[in-house]
Amino acid sequence: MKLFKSLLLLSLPAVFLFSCSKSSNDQQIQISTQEYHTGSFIQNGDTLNSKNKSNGRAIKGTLKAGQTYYLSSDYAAATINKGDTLVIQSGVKVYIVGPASGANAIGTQEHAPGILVNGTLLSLGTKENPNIFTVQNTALKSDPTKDPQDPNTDPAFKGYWGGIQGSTTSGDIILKWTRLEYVGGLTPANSPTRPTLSSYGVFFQNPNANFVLEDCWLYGSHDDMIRVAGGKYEIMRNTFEKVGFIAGECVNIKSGSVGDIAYNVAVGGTGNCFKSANAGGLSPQANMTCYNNTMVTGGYRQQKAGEGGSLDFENGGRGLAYNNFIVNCAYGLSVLGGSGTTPAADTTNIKYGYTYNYGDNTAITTQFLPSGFITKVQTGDINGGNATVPGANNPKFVNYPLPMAANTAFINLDFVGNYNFRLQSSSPAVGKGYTDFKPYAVVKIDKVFGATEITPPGKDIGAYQMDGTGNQH
Amino acid sequence: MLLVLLLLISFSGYAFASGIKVKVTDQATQMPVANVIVKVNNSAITAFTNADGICYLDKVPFGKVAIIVWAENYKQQVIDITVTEKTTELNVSLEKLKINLQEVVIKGKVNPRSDQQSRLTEKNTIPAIDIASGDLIENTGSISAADVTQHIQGLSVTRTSTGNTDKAIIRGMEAKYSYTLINGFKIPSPDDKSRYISLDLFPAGLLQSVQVYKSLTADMEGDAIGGVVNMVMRQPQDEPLFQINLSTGYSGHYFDNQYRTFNSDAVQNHSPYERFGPAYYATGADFSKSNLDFYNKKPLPDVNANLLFSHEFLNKKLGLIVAADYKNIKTGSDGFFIPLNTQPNLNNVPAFSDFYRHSYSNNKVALSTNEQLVYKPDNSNKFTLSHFYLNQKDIESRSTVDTSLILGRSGAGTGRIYVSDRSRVHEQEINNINLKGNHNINALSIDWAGVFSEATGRYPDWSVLTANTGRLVAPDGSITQSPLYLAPLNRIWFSNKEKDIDVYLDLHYKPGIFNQKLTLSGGGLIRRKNRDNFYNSYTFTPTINEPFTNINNAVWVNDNGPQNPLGNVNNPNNYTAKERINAAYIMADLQSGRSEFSGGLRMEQTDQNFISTLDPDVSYGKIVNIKYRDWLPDLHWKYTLNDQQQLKASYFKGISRPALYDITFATIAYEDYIVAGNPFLRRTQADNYDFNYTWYQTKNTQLKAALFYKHIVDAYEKTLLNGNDELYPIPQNGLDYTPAGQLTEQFKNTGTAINYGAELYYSYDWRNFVITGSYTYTSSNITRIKKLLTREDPNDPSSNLVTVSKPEKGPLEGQAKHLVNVNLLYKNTPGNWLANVSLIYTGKHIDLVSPWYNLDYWQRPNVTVNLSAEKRLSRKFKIKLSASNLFNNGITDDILVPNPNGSGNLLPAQKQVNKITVLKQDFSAYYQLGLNYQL
Repeated sequence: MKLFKSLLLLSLPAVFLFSCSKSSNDQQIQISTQEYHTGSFIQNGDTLNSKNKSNGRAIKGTLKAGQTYYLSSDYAAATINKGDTLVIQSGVKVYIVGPASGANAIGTQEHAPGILVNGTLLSLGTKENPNIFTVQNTALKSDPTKDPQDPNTDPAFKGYWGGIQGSTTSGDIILKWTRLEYVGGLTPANSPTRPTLSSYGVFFQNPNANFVLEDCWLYGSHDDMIRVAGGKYEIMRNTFEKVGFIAGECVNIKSGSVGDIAYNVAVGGTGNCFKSANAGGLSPQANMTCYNNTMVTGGYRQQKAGEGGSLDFENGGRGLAYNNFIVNCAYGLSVLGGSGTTPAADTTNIKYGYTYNYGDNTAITTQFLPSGFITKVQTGDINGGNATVPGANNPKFVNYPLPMAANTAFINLDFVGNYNFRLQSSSPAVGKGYTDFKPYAVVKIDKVFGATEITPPGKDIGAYQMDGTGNQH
Repeated sequence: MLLVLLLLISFSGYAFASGIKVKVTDQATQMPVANVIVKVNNSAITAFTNADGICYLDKVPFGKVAIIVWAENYKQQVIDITVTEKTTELNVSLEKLKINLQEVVIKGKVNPRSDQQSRLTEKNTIPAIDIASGDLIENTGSISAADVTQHIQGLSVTRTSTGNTDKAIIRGMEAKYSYTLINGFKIPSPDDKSRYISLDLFPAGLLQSVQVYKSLTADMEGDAIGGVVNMVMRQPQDEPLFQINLSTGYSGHYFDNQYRTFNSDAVQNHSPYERFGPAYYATGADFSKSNLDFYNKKPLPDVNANLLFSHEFLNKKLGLIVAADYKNIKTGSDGFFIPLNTQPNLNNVPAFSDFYRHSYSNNKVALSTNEQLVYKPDNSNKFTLSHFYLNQKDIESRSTVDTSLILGRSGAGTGRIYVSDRSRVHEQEINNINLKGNHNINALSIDWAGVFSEATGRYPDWSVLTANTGRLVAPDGSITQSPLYLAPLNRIWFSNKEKDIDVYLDLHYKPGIFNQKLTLSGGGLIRRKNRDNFYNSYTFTPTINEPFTNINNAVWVNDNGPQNPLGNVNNPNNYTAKERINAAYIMADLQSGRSEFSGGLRMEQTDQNFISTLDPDVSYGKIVNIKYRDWLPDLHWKYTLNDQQQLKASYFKGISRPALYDITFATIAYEDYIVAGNPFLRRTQADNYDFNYTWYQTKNTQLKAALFYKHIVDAYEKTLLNGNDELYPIPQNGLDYTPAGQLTEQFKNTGTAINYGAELYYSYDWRNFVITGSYTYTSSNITRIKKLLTREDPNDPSSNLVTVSKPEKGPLEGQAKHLVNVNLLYKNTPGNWLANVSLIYTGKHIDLVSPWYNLDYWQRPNVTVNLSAEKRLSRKFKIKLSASNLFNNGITDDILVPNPNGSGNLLPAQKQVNKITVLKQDFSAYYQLGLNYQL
């Protein structure tokens, strides 16, 4: 115990001194250093972001299987230092706790702590014993029995905590069988990179490190759920629900990022489900191989017309998109482009096809090829064109009522609940997939330090394969 | 009774009087001289000569009289004659006045606001200097000091969004390379970021003259490379003065446009955080609404008034001037702006995401006062107490229609559209008080001064109310428009305050050798500057499917409250900074025959210290200390060729200190883009050479020519950094520097720049006209490290897109190669008329440096024509009429690359295929009608 105390809050109140060797420059600069806190090991039941009332805490070591830990809204973020690793074994619960109301209420600015990752984070849930990050107070949570509910009052979009924030020099972030809920609290005003903005669920931004998101549930966010602004990534077999209040993508890929997005289910996202744009000036170019995803009722909370709802390539983004299911989304696959002064996608390096569009009304079917984009009907598309008759080619999901009633408010259909997007054997999607391409597979296969499985392209369109492979939720 | 007596006397005079024909000729040319005042001394009998040089004096009483003959540019003559009935003709020949280089001859006898005084000062000042006189200020109908500076050779001005003149660019060097003085003392800036002060703040009516120093001596502060603008405020004068100027004006913009405004009285000067403290949980009720409720109206005519009073007391030992100026001026403009996307397309083909059509309405309400008290107990001692105060509010609305060029756009009138109104009040205040003393004790003279000044700027509740809609094309060609929905809202309070306390001391000593022609000087300056920046913002998120009507009906989540009820204050925009300048100099001045030499060395020690609200647990850089010392030598030589011609040559070393804001660790994050401060930014150092030739032929006929050359080390410019580029030279994670991490804009030292040019000025006096013309040629060259978006292997279209650095040479930002000024003054003294036309041409220049290769915004050449006229109604009253920017000339910026859309309409407002027009601002003429009363 004494050892811990002495390790705790070891600070180095030093000052950098810079002076240049160039003779013309005699400028002396003194800069106060960061007060560095050595990471401390965690006890069962610890509060991750405070120890002895410290405001924020550096942590390392192991969150032990089946144990419960806390992030308190009274304190700043928990930090994993450079060189340190935090391992989360299976069946671990991390509860975000704090006052439900008042000035210091959980989720208000400076009261929405997250985990800042400068080192390595491994969350190793299993199918049987997943890990969960959520709000403890059930009164603050979204009540599934109320679904479908009005998003204006649904707590899923409130943003109670600050998610997992990787730095530009972080190590790997590996999340397996982990449930992240209610992310998107406002970042602190003194956040070095994004002050006073809704935090992303997971922000990864080191082009040289690995990011794995496998078999996870991502439920409820205020803005982007996953943003990869640099990184080698594998985003496979996850389920996204209630992502983005009035803006936000399920997965937003920026420059410096290469990887695969496959076998994901995204229901009721507000912006695009999966987007690739080469913004940010990093190398390599933003690149996604996006296949066998099922996207349902996306794009309705976004009040800005013209874009968002399923898949998007723009602003120098490149990649592949095959075998994707786009069901009652506001807009179909979007490729921005052509010549001219539009910030176009890297159209010479984009290939897509075997897209299965489904729409219940003409507002949807006439935007399968969204207005203002250069998306064309491709080989293998089902319901490829904007002249598709509403209701044509019912996907025949195991449990999802299609066609919807004429007056359905798609905006409220942002949950999975008891629906089941597996295919009936009679589904037109069965066997219509394209398999003659390869995932990037940029992350090594490893049960702990890499991807457990990089599922190759499937022969059935969408996230669920008749042979039982694909999404396991 | 008295009146009757007076009448009788004058009648009696009438009986014994004669009419005299007077003819006036030029002594040298024998040509007749027009506009000569011929006056019988101690009487009201006055006449002006006509074009033949002839005038008639009526009813000149018999007996001995003195006749005064005076004309501009001529030596005054007093002719004593005895008038009898035979006196019918008088011939006078006048000698043309030569400006005498000996200061003593004229000093004290010339109106301090006159051109003549300015030329004299130019001549007697050893550094290169150009002065805009009070005459010029009056004749050109200038409203602000910035209006004045655009008439000076070598200077051009930038403009505000509604076309008001703003900052001066001296010899192609933008405002950061200059400083501003009031009565010779540097003042802090109310600007939120820069050290520079907008010259728009200073009313022309309070100015005695505007002096622009283009070279520095050691007794002047050294942080100027372009030059120094010294605003000389009105000084107490010998004659009692009481003057009122009252004028009204109207912007031509509002002849056919509405003025869009909001209730600026409703703006809360302080944020909820400032009002209720840091623990306060703000609700929707804490925010006013009517300052976001916009409406149109026809504006009332403007007011521009000033008042001057000057008097001497205590047997002329005490002089006082009190001056006040009030303005309420409304200007407006329309235009568009197409910003570059954060990155271009492949091979830097420019990409654009938005087309903004802006309409600005600005109301400037300003009150300034200037008071000066001069006490001269004797000839050897003088004390001056001066105070300058200014408060200006710019109440501005900006309505914008932002058409997305990306989303859903398939042609004109389609796609996503944002409609917004910005409510912004910018309040600036300057308070400057100084006490100075001048003492002569035999061979020693001592000048000292203590200065206290404070400059405040605040933007209370800056917010942009935005709603969006979309017009999408269906396959059948029909367009569906979605409802207008409310977008998120930010309400921002930010303010800055700078306080300076300065102590100056200068000693001059004439050791009595070299025939008293040697002066040794020494002295120094201590300045303590404190700056506080405060920034606080609140974010509001609309509820979904909330159709927009106006602010009163807007519904936001969190019970109509902000998302961050505590406000956002813990950010890098909140900081306190201290700057200490300790300077000392020595200087020697020697007059030897026709030459005058002056040389000196100045030392300036700079200590800067910042404390920000950065959390030291989160980041380094909460405290930054920067120190450096400069040794700044100068050498000046003035050579008098003859009575009329003079040469000046000079060298000085100058620096430019980056603004305090730019050298903090302040970081502002935009989507996909960061703007970062840079404490490692080095000050710019420059060697400056200047050569001047002046030929004073007569008072108004003169020729001036100047050459200059500047070698500028460590110029700094906004530079775009890649993820891998160095942000700070602080080792991080095995690298010996900290990389930017992502696309980041930052001030960086960009290496060495060269700037040289020539100025030519000629003014010519011809009959009733004075024609003045000047031309300035400037050429500068700086290498900027730009970015290019290309393929990793340019020959392989499947290879990755990469951003690489590519150097690009170009001129300094704002530097126009050609500047032309033409001024035509017409004076009809007998008719009490004066009219002035001026034309200002500013050549093509970079308006905005793009961090991307070959994508700078170039402003097209621009011409402004100003017209003004005045007519004296009586000795006390004068009316004035003026029109500035008579031909409604605005500004237009282009990117000089072909438009890849050709003549297609995907990019709006394009007229040429060989360039892309990205900015256009239409300015309007401004008309003024004024009445001037002088006791």
